[in-house]
Amino acid sequence: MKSQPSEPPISALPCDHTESLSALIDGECQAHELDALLAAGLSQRQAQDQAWASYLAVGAALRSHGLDSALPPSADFAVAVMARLALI
Amino acid sequence: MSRPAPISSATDSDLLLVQRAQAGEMRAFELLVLKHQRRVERLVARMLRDPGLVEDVAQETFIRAYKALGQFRGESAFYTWLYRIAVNTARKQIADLRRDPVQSMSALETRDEDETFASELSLILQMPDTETPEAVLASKEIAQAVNQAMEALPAELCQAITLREIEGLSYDEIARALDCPVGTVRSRIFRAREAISARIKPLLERQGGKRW
Repeated sequence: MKSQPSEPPISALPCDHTESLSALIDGECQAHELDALLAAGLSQRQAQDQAWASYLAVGAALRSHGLDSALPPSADFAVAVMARLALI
Repeated sequence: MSRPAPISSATDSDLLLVQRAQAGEMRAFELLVLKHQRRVERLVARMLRDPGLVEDVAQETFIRAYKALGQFRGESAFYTWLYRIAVNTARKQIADLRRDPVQSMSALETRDEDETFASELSLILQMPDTETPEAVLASKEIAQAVNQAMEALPAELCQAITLREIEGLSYDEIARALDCPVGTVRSRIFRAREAISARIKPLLERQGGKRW
């Protein structure tokens, strides 16, 4: 069976990166893909965060079991945590 | 064509990211923060009366989690371990507010038993949700948009994302259920997420406090 061609990803990331993120959410990504994702430069991280948050929100909304909100995380929160960790 | 096996059989991303964070990759921990921030905030908000303290306590939870990450052995789910830290951090905050350092220390020291924690967490999760009406409305709007997007998906994409996100099946299990290659499953789930994300993007962008 041949899969249909993918639509362009909504983020500014290359399609293979966003597909890797999608697989990562499911615990199904390959080691080399994770290497590439984690090595992404700062210029790609915002798009990566956006896709990550969006995919997680989709999952939360579909499950809607109350514990997780469909609201996306605040990127400012993560920035603040990482800034504090950088000082440790 | 055969595909290399995924690097873990974990059903979600946490273990993969924890292992990388334990190896010193900060970006992996940042993705964990983004994933669990809302759930930790909601848990903490159930315990604290002052909403203004929630973000500080949630941040402190992740700082403590990072410092203790070397002790995480994967014997429980990462979020369970993180919840325990969140509960202890919130309790310490409450004790500090009461200016009772003895109570604060004892709270941190006596909550390590799994059974105690499980029953306590259950009680906390039964407390009223503290989401603001605006947040509840926004969450409902997103859920509604996701449902509409699902209805517009081609059947094969809808089936794949449903089996993954709602039924919790692995890619292998979905491939067997749909009688197609694992690579096709992966592609369909990705395309479904992309299509739904495109529909909810304006709603996500409307939420404050983000850089996207």
